[in-house]
Amino acid sequence: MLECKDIEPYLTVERDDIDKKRSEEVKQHLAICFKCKQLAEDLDSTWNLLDEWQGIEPSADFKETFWRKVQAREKRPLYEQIKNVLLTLNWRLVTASVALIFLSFTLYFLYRSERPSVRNIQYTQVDKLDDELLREINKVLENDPEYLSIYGDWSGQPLNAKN
Amino acid sequence: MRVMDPDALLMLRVKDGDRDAFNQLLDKYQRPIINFIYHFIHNRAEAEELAQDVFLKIYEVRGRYRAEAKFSTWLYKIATNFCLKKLSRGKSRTNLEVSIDGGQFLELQDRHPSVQEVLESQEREKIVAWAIGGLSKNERTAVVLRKYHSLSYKEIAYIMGCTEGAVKTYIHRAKLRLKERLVFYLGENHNARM
Repeated sequence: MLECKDIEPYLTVERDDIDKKRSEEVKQHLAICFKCKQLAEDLDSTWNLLDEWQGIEPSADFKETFWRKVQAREKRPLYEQIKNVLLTLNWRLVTASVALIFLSFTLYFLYRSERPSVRNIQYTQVDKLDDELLREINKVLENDPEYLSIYGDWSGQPLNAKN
Repeated sequence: MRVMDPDALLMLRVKDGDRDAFNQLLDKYQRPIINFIYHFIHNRAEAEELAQDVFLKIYEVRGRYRAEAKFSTWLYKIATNFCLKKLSRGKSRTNLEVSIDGGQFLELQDRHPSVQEVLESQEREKIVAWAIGGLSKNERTAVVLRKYHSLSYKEIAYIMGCTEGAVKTYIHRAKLRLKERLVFYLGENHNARM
């Protein structure tokens, strides 16, 4: 058996939307509960009262006015038509898209600027001297591999310690 | 075999440049659309103006029309968007005094109603308009489409971009709110008749 608190949702829906069994239960409840019956009647009456708000008739020249407006729009110069298209744009969406594109470009250029570019390296005089020295050492090592043996072997142990 | 919506066929003719087809659509839908907007914003002049804008919009986008939904449902969807935009701009003068205008008054005069009848009718309309005006945008859309245009829950759900369940909830809430706002009037009238 349905209780009062379960009844309310069934009172606002149309009878066809309730299945037969439930509809019968609602009917039985309304037969014994004055409060719910009153609510059902009030809901029906107020819903029916809306019929009192009748519609209006369109003006006799509605169609003529419409076609006049169409003609006026079609005759408009191009800049006016573009302006109209711009006015109909969803400006929130456009602003958000522009901001997103701007942010993406900014982040991309920031990332790029932090990476050193080979093309932009500036060689100083000291760098050139270091380079020449390294080349010379390389040349000497190629001709005489034993050249560095005076510094000991490559184990890191001094030559004296081995002996 | 799927039967094509005759209004959609007319709109496809409009797409091909047939103005007469659009005139037929105007004849059929000017009254429902004006009334739909009128029930929404409750101002005759603005309702006509906005209805013109709705039809202009449809005429302008005719080239991109695809007969996916029923024409009338698509039309109501566009009209609903216009109404919601209008309401959100807050420019609509939902002035109760404007509702009973010349045209309607003349219509009533044709039937030779008594002064008492006219006044009572005007009063009832104002009260109903006031009660509907107190609903939320969603509730108002659902109620106007269901009550005054007899659209199915499915169609209303398509127009409002929500589920059928949500539509039923809006109508449920609206009915309770309308009862709260209108029950005093029913009570007064009931007592007056006694």
